[in-house]
Amino acid sequence: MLVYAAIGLFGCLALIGGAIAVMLRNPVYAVLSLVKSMIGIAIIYFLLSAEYIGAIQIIVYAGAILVAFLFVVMLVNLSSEDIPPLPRGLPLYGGIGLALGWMLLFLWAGFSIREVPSSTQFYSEETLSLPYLYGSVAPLGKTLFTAYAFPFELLSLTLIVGMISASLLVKRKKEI
Amino acid sequence: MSIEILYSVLALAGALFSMGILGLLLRRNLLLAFLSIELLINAANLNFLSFSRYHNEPTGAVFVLFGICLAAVEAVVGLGLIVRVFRVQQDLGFAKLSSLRW
Amino acid sequence: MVSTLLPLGLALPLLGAVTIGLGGLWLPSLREQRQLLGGIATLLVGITFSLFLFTFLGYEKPLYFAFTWDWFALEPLRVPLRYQVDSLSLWMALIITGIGTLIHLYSIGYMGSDEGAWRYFALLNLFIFSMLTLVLADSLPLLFLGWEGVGACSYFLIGFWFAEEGNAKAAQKAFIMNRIGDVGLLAAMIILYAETGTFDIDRLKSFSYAGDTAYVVGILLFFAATGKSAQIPLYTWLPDAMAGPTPVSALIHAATMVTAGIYLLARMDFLYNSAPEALYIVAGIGVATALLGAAIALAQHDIKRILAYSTVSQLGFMFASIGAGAYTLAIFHVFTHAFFKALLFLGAGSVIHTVDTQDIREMGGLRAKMPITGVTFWVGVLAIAGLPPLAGFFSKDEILAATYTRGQAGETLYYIFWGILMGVAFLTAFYMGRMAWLTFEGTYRGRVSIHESPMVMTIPLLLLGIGSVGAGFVGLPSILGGSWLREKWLSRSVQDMALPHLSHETEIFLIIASTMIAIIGLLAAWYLYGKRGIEGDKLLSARLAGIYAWLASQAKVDLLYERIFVQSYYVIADLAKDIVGSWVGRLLPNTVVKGIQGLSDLFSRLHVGYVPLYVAYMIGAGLLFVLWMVLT
Repeated sequence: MLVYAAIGLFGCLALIGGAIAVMLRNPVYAVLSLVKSMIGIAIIYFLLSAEYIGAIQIIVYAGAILVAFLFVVMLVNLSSEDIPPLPRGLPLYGGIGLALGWMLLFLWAGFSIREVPSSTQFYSEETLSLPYLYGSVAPLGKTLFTAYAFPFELLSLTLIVGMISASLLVKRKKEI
Repeated sequence: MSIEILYSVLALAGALFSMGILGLLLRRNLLLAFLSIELLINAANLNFLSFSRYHNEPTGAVFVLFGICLAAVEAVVGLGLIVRVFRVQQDLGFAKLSSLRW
Repeated sequence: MVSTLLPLGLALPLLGAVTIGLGGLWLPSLREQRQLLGGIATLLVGITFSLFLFTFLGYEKPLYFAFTWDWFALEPLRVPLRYQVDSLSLWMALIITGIGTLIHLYSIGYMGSDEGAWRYFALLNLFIFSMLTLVLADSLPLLFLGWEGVGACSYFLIGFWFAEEGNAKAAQKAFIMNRIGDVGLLAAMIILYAETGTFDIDRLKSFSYAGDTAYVVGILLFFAATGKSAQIPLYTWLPDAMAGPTPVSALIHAATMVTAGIYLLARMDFLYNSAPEALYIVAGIGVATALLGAAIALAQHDIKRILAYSTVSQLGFMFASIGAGAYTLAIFHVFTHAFFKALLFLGAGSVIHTVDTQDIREMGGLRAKMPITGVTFWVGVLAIAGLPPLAGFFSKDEILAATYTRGQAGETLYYIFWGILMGVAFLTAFYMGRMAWLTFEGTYRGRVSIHESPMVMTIPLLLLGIGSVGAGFVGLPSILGGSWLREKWLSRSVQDMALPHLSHETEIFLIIASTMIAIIGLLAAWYLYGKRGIEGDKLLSARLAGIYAWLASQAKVDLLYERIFVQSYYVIADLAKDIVGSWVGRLLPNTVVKGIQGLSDLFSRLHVGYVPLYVAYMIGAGLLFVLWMVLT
C-alpha cells in the first residue's frame, strides 16, 4: 500500500514538474522544474526496485543533461522576455487534442494488458543461477555484456560521434 | 509486482508523454521545445522499466540504459546545433527560424 | 603435377590484359615501351601454351579445375567457375595458345610503330583469356561468357583504328551480327535448362533427349554458330572485319574465334547424335556457304578480303563435315586451317606492311624482294588448295570422303553436297592461285619501294609454314594407317556418328580425285594469271559477264540485308515514332507530369517553414499510424 502511495506521490511530483517545465516562461525555472521531474522519475525507478537505473537517471539526467541545458540557457542569454507566451486559439486546442490523443492511446494500450501473469519470468538460465535481485547491477550487467554486447559497443561509437560532432558544431570557424 | 502498479506507472508514463508533446507543440522557442523532448524520452524509459520490472527481466532495464545514453548524445548534438543557430540568427524563436522552407 | 598449375593458364593472359591495359591507361610513359609490352604479352601466352603442352604430354583423363567462388548462384541455379580440360578442349586450347603465341610475336613487328600498341596487346591477351574460357568452360553460362568475351574483343580489335568511320562501322556490324546469333545460343541454353535443370555440359551429356528438343536446340546452337563462325545468313560481318589489324584477322577472324561455332557444335555432339535431321541443315548451310565464299573470293581485289571469303568458305567446309556427322573431322580441319590461314594472313600482313596497300592489282613480283614471305605464302596457298602432303590436303580430302560416305550410305543428298564441295575445292585452288600469282609473281605494279619484313615477323611465318606442311600428319586417312587425332585423341571426348567404312578402292579414288581437282584449279589459275598477270581478270570477267560483276560486288548480300532488314527497321521505327511519339510519348508523360505537379503544389502548401507545425504533422501522423497498427 505504501508503494502505491509513494508512486502516486512522486508521480504527481514528476507530472507537476513536467507541466511547469512546459508552461513557465522563465527558461531557467523551466529547466530546474524539469530537474525536479527527473528526480521524481528516478524515485519511481527506486520504488520499482531498479536502484541502478534510478541512480543513473539522477546522475545523467539531472546531473549532466539538464545542467548542459542550463549552460546553454546562460550561454545564449535567454530570459523570460525572449520567450513568447503560450499560444491561444487553434494551436493551443490542436496541441491539447493531439496530446490527449496520445494519452488515451497509452492508457488504452496499457489497460488492455491483462493476460500476462506477474510471475512470468523471461530471464535466462544464467541470470537465474545468480542470487537474483532485480535491481542489482549483476543481472543487468550480465544481460548488457552478453546478449547486448554489440549494441552496447555501437552505443559507445554513437557517443563518440556525438561528442565529436558537438565540439565541431560549437567551434568557431576562425579556430579551425 | 502486481499489475496495478504496472497500470499506474503506465498511466504516469502516458501523462508525461502527452505533457512532452504539448510542450513540443506549444513552446515557440527552439531550446524549450527541445527540453520537452527529454520528457518524451523519459516517458518511454518509464514504460520500458515498468514492463521490465513486471516480468522480472533485466532486458528492459538494459534498454532504459540505452535510452538514457542516446538521450545524452541527442542532447549534446542538439544543444550544439542550438548554439550554432543562435550564433547565426541571434534568436531562437520559431517565428524567425523559418528558413527551413528551403 | 601440371594440373595444379592449370588455373594459371587462364590467369596469365588475364593478368597480361589487366596489367598492360591498366598500365597503359595510367602510365602514359609506358605506352612508348611497345616492344616491352609486346614481349610481355607474347611471353605470357607462350607460358600458357607450354602449360597446355605439358598437360597434353601427360594427359590421361579429363582434368577439372575450379575456383572456390561461384560466378553466380541463384538457387537452385548455381554457376560455378569450373573448367574442364578434356581432349577436345585441350586440343582447342593448344591451337589457341600455339597460334596465339606466334601471332603475338608477329604483332611485335607489325604493331611496333603504332601509337595504340598497349591497347592492342592488352586486348589480344584478353582475347586469349576469353577464348580459353570459351573452350575450357564446363557449363554453358561460362561458355557463353567466353563467347561474349571473344565477341567483345573482336569488336574492339576490328575497330582498333576507330578514328576512321569505316572501321568503327565494321566493328559495329560484326558486333550486331554476332548478337543476332547469340540469341540462338541463349534460347538453346534456356531450352536445355528447362528440359534438364542443369547447365553442366557433362551432366547434359547423360540425359537422353527427345528428338524434337534435340532438333530445336541443335538448330538454335547452329544459328549461334552461324553468327560467330560466319555462315549464311550471318557471314557478312567477316569480310568487313578485315578493317582490323592484320594479325588480328589472322588470330581472331581466321584461326580461333570463328572456329568457336565449330567447337560449340562438336562439344554438343550428343544433341546432334540424337537429332540427325538437324545435321542436314548444318551440312546444307555449310556447303552453300563454302560455295558462296569461294565464288565471291574469285572476284575480289583486296588481299585481306579474299582471305576473309576464303575463311568463310573453309568454315563452310567445317560445317559440312559436322553435317556429315564427323565432328572430330571438323576439329581436324580447324587445326590445319588454323596453320595455313594464319600463315596466309600473316604473309598478307607482311606484304601490306611493306606495300602499304591491300589491293593485289598494285602488287606483283614480290617474291623476289621478300623471299621468306613469298615462299611461306606459297606454302600456305598450296596447303589450302589441298595439294598432298600439305596440311590442307588431309583434312579437306577427309571431309570430301565423309560426305561421300554419307552418300554411299544411302543419303543421296550427300552426293550432291560432295559434288558441290569438289567444285568448291576447285574454286579454292583457283582463287588462291590467282591471289598468289598476282601478288608474288609477274612484275611489280606498285610504286612504293619494298623490302623483306623483320625477323620478328618472318620467324612466325616460317614456323607456321612448317606447321602448314606437317600438321596434316596427325590425321592420316585410314588407308595410310588411320587418323591419330580423330581415333586416338578426340574420340575420347567427342562421339562421331557411326559411318560405314569406305572400301580401299573408293578411298584411293577419292584421294586421287581431290588431288586432281586441286591441281586442275592451280593450273587454271596459272593459265589465267600466271601467264597473263592482271589481264586474267579481264578475260574472266568477259567470260562470266553478269555473274562476275555480281560476285565482285560481294553477291550484293549487304545490299539485300540493307533493303530487307535495315529499311524495314527504319519503317517500323518511323511508325513507332509516330504512334509512340505522339501518343505514348507525349500524352502519358504529360499526364504524369501534370499530376505530380498538382500533387506537389498541394504538398508545398503544407510546408510553411514553421517548426511546431512540422512537429504537429509528425505527432499526428504517428498517432494515426499507431492507431492503424493497433486497429488492424
